[in-house]
Amino acid sequence: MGTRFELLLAGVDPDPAEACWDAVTTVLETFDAPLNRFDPHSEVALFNARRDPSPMRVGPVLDEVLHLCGRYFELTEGLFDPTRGDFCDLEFSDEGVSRRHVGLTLDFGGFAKGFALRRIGERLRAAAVESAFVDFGGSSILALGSHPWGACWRVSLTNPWTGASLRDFELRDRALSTSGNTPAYTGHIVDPTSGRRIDGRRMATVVAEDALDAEVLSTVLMIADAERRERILARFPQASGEIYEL
Amino acid sequence: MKRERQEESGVDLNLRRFIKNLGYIAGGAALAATVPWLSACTPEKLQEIGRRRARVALIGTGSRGQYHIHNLKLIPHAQIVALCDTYAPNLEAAHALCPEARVCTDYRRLLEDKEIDGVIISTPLNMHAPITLDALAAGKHVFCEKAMALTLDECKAVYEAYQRTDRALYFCMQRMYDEKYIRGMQLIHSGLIGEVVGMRCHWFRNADWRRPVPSPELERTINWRLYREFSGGLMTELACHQLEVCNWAAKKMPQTIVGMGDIVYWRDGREVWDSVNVTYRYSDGRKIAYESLISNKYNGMEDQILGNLGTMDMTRGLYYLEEDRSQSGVRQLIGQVRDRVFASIPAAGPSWRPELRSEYMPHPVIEGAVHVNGGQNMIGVDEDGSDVILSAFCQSCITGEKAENVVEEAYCSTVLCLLGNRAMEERRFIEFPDEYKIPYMKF
Repeated sequence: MGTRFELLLAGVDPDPAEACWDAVTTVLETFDAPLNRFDPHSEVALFNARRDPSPMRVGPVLDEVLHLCGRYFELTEGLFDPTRGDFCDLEFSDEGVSRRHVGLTLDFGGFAKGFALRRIGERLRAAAVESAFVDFGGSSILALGSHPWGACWRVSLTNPWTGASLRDFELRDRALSTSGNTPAYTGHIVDPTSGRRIDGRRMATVVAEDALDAEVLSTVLMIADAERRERILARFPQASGEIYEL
Repeated sequence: MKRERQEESGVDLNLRRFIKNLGYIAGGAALAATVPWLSACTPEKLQEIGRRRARVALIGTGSRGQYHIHNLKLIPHAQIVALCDTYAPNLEAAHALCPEARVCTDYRRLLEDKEIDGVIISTPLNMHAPITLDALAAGKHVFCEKAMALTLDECKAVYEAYQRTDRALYFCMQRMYDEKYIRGMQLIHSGLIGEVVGMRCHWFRNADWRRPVPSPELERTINWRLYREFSGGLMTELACHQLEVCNWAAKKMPQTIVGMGDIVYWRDGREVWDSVNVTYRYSDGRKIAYESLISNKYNGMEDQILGNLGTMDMTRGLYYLEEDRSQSGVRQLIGQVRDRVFASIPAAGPSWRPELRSEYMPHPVIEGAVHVNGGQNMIGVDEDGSDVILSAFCQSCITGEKAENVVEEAYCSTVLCLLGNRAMEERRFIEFPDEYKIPYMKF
């Protein structure tokens, strides 16, 4: 997925920890294989490169992902859209997935890390892990239980322009997702309803029980105006979000 | 002691591993330059002595003497041939550990024994100098517990006797043989923490420092640490090691000393202070802040060397950088968990830390498990260098080779402890007296 992945397991013996790591890397590989658009053999890359308008059969992972995306598309009033076009132009049938016009491509950039974290959290809980910190490149974090020497996991959000701390999050069985611009990387978030690039010194954070909710919503908050933000967040009672104009 | 013993080859594996580890760090020549005292105990020299064994005797077989016995039994080139103590229960306990050894109660008898190469002195401090001087005069190699002596004049006498003798003399300055200290010191001298601007050392315990006394007339014999005719108190018993580390880092000696000592909590008839704060000032203004208190242990034992770019926590084998952007959040967390620190880590963007110690990220000076002495054990801990320095001494008993700088370092740190006591007793600012300066000292 083109980022660093780190996992800290606390209070787990070496053998079960090894087994957890195997389970986690299996999840990552299972997701990366169909969803990585930079891998020319992935289902997503094949779909994007396809010129044939007929339906394409997709594997179970991509199928599940597309259905989840449809749900988030509705809940976010179209502000979450992995199609770089209009999700409504995708058609699902028994024969597979097809699209109304060839220009429509898929990009799960704002989705896959959260989806993987959700599944990794399930695996770790199933393995009776009580304390773990999972970090996807600093921007997507899942914190299970608490730090061995504290009552939670404490994470600080830094202003990438000044290096100053914006706030500390105290996470316990929560996911934290951060979206936004940095001095080195600005304008990569696009409003799917208008095609407008989101510029400026802005960041958004979402803390949620579910890592995928957090992942999707942090991008949506970057795009939504204040009114929509409130309305969308109200549909996710287990999530809280914040916007920072820096 | 968790370590292997290899009788067959006659090689002390622990010592060999220790030197090998350091060799990786420094390289042979660089190693000799930073830690010249190790050149007397290289693995090559150990190989040369073959199956020969140092015949050693212990003078003083209390808890520390018995700790040395446990270490000696794991050193293939050591043989305990005699034990001496004036206190029967300790002598019996030690004899039970090595029944083949001869026992006696008068150390002078033992010094007449031609079958003894070297003696290991673990007596109350007041006896260190008399026995060391007698043993050197009798032609024995000597390993003596720190501190060097109870008085400044005794220190000078021991130092002068050492200048005249061809015998090896060691004081148990175990930090000089502790891998994490050596490595930490090399990093300091390489400039890792910038310019050394100060030192903070402390030793906190919460214990009365007493041993059980079977009958009242034995009080002063057993609890000698608490009485001035035998002991220099916290300074000679604890500070001695720590001041040595400071001078090692600063590469010089402090010039002025001021301090205060009091009995704050343990008002039980003892004569030595249970609370001392001493400041040692080098000629360039740098200072050692030394503190010891034995009625609160929260701060434990720490030897910190402070640089303008970072801090070396010698005790834990960790360093901290003032500006540190080197590692990811999870790497910081791993450091925190290992160091029992709970703090926030950066989620996104460059990391930033407020000026609080807990927010600094620890970096280990050596890879792998580090033995940390929390300072609470009153006898000795595993793998703090005590075993290696004892092994080096046994090697010297066979080769006759002296260990460079060990006596000088012990002299410097003991004199500083005693001057600290003098400053506290006389409640005045003390300039380092000329009569106790030796050529080794740089001010």
